[in-house]
Amino acid sequence: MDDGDYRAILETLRLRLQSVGAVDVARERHYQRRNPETGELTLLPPKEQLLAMLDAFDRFLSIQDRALHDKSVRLISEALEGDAPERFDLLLPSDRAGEPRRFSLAKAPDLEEARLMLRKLRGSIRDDDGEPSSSRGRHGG
Amino acid sequence: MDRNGAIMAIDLIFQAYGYAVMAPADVSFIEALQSGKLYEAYVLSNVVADLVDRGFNVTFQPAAVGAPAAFAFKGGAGIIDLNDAHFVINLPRSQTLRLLVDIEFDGLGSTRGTVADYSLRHELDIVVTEATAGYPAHHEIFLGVECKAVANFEKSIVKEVLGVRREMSLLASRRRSRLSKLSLVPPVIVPASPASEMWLAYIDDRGDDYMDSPRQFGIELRNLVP
Repeated sequence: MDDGDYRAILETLRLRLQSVGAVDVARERHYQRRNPETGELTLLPPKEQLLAMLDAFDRFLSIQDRALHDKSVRLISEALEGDAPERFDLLLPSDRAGEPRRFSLAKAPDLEEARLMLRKLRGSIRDDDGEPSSSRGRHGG
Repeated sequence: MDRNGAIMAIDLIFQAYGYAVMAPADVSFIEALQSGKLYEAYVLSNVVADLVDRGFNVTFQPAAVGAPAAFAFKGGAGIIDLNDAHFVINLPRSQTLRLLVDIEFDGLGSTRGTVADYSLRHELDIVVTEATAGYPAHHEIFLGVECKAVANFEKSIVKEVLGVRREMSLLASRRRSRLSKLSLVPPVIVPASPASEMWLAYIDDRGDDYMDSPRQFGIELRNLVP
C-alpha cells in the first residue's frame, strides 16, 4: 500500500472512532510532531499516523476491557495476605436521593476478540511493503 | 493486505466492539469506563501492591452495608466516609492510615487567606491519609494519586497535576516523605512541605517524555499499562 491507501484507511478509522465516542483518539493534533529547531508542526507520515492511531485505539479499548478488572482483582489479592475485594463496583448518581446506581465493573465488556483483530491488523500494516494497493480503484484513490 | 482488506478489518473490529459494549446495555456505564473508572481500579491495585512491597501491613475494610465483597468507586469525588470500602494501613503503636478513592481535599490556598468559592477543594483519585471523616486537609495527605486513562498523553495533563501538587504542599528542601518515614524500605525523598508523595499514573508511554520537571516538585510519573 502507498500513502494514498493509508490516508483512505485513516479516514475510515477516524470516522469509526468518532462514531463510538472515541473523538479524542481520532483528533489529528495527536499525530503531529514539532521540529524543535524550526518550531514547525507537521503531521506524521500516513503510515506512522495510522499505526499510532491504532495503538491509541488499543489503549482506549484496554481501559474498558473486562480483562482489566480481572487483572486488578488478581493483583490486589496477590498483594494482600488476608481478605481482598472480589470485585470492583461503580456507584453513579441516580435521580433519587441516597440511591446510587450500582454497576459491577466485572461486567465490563469482553473486548478480547476486538483487541486480537486490532493487533492483527496493526501487524499487517506495520509489515506492509509499501507497494500501491492493487484494489484502490474500488475506493477511488 | 490491501486497502480494502484493511478497511474491512476495521469494520469488523468496530462491529465486535459494538456487540461487546451492547451487553452491559447502559450508556452511563460505558461512558464511565471510557473516562477511566476501571483504570482507577487497576492503579489502586498497583498502589496496594506498592505499599505492601514497602513493608506496610495493609488490610481490606469492606463497606459497612451493601456488597461486602466489592470495592466501590464513585462517579465523582467527595468526602471521607469510613462506612465505604477502603484499605487500612496498620502502623506501630496503634496508628493507622487509610487508603481511599475519589476524595476532595481542602487545598493549601485556604490556609493562606479566605477561600470560599469552588477553588477551595481539589480532587484526588486515590489518597493515603490520616483523616477519618469529611474533607481531609492538605497536610493530612500522605500520598495522592492522579489517574489519566487518556489514549493520547498531552502536556496539559502535566499542567493540571502541577496545579494540584501546588495545593498539596509548598516546594521545600528535599526530605524523606512522611509515608516513607513509616516504612523500612526504600526511602522516598520529596522536595515538599508537608512531605507528601504524589503519583501521576497514565496509560500512554508518551507521558514518560514529561517526567523531569514534575519530579522537581515531588511528582512521580508512572506509566501503568493495563
